[in-house]
Amino acid sequence: MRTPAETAPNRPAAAVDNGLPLQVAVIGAGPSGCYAAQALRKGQPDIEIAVFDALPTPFGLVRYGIAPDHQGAKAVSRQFERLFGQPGVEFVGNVSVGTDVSLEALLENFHAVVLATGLGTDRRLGIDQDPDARVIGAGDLIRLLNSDPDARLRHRHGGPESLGSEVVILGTGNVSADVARLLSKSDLDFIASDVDDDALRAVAPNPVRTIHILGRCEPHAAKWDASMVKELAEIVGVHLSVDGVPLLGEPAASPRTTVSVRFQHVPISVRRLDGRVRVTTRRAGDSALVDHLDADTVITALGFDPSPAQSAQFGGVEASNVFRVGGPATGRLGNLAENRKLAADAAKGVLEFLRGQEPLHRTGLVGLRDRLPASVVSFEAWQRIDGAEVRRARPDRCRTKFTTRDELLAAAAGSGALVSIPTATPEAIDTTGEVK
Amino acid sequence: MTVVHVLYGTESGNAEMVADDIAAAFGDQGYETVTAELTDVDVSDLAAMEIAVFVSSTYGEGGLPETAAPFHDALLTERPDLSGVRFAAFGLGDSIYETFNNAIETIRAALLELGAEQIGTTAKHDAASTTPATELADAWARELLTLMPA
Repeated sequence: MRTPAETAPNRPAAAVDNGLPLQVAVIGAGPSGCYAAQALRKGQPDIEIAVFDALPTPFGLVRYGIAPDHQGAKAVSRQFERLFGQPGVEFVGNVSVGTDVSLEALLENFHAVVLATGLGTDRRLGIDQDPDARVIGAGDLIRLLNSDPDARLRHRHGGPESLGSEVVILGTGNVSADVARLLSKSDLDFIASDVDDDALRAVAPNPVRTIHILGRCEPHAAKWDASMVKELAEIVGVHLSVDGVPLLGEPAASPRTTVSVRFQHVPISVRRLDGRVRVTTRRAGDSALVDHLDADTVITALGFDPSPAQSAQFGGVEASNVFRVGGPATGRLGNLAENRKLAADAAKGVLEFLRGQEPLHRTGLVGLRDRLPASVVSFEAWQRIDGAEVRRARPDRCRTKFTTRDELLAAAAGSGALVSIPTATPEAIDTTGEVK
Repeated sequence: MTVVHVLYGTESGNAEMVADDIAAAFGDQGYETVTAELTDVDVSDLAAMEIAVFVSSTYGEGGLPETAAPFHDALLTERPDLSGVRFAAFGLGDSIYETFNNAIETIRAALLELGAEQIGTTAKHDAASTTPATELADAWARELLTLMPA
């Protein structure tokens, strides 16, 4: 048990740079970056931290990756709001490290740099797959329904399209359960959420009628939490079965959405067939048992990888004062609790490293100010975005997010002239669907 | 002056934030406060605490946070005599799950069983509500302060 003296917040700081504070840059304002910053401040309260993000908004996957109908889980952002409310912690939004400002410039101005850039891309299936079969990533879909301005599905030619009435979801983790839940809920089930209603109506004009969830593993090895599957089964109008056995007994009336989970189905090919998609699987342990499943869309929920841009930018970076947290450290995106713990461990390592160093002169964000783009979004500017989104929310939604960077930046500037803001032009979009 | 121990179990950090708020509310009224995660608390130290405020979230199927479970296990194994200990309880949960706020009840039941006396009402924050946990924590701590020995 620690005594009051031991837990007192102002232990003497390491005598670096004649009493000037240690300067740390965190790249990525998602949960891992914020947790790392929080732990650094708890360990060394006078440390100065600048948290950079390529988006104009903080909180990363808390804002764009946690499902919009799970507002309770999104409440961790209140911790991070408190973090950025402290003097010495800055949000540096809408600044892409590697493009707007170089990693070298950060290393010149900060004692240490923490890479918390997440994993930006849905893991690919890695099997025989028709390039024009309709296969989308679960992460991309959730980003779209969370109003991520960079969501790939938003920027595809012609905008987001309907997923159809029958979908196959590959993978049995919590992201898979999120997707099945979001696609099977009725409008009433989204009360108090901040789902992007326009995007939801585009991909699912009505709740999807049939959802097949396929897992390679045995049921007990599924990665999702039992509570997530139960939540899905408890949605009014949803009937869920696992390997043919109803989870909550037979439905009273004809269900709106039927969700059938099948384990030990290993996908071997995805083909386009008469405008639909055919998924061929074999039974785990018996390659002779082959099944076909036809659907309108296949959604992969198989984990995440670094985006090509992330790999190019930070993949090979190795320096004693560069640290990694979250996805870049572990290669996987875990839940919040797990990443908080990992970020706390990483922060300990950062502080140990810094305290063992010879004093160096580092000016932090101040030394970088004139090299930052004019469109940088501070935490105060983010709070203007936040307020505007809450004010413009539909009566039965907790917020209605802006869906383009232009709208976000206009709100950050406090501009009321949102109506005339142009949306992304086709020239800004390349053939892979990613914004340049 | 009474020392108030604010002891928390957390996974996503929200319970720690609430613990900080409660400690601040007591600190503002001149109380000396000690804030500690339950992993850092030895159950044998509990008997000597005059006031202990427990803050815990709930995880999975109504379970204790990973950092609170060993403490709870130790309570039930070592069974210290807690008569004379006054405690208060603040839970965090999310009502989309049935077992919402089960963990603080688990801790509370163990403390009562070992003779501790609860002061105030058990707060149960619902993350799915529109009230931030810190707001409830402030209001609840102020109410608790009125029940404190002068």
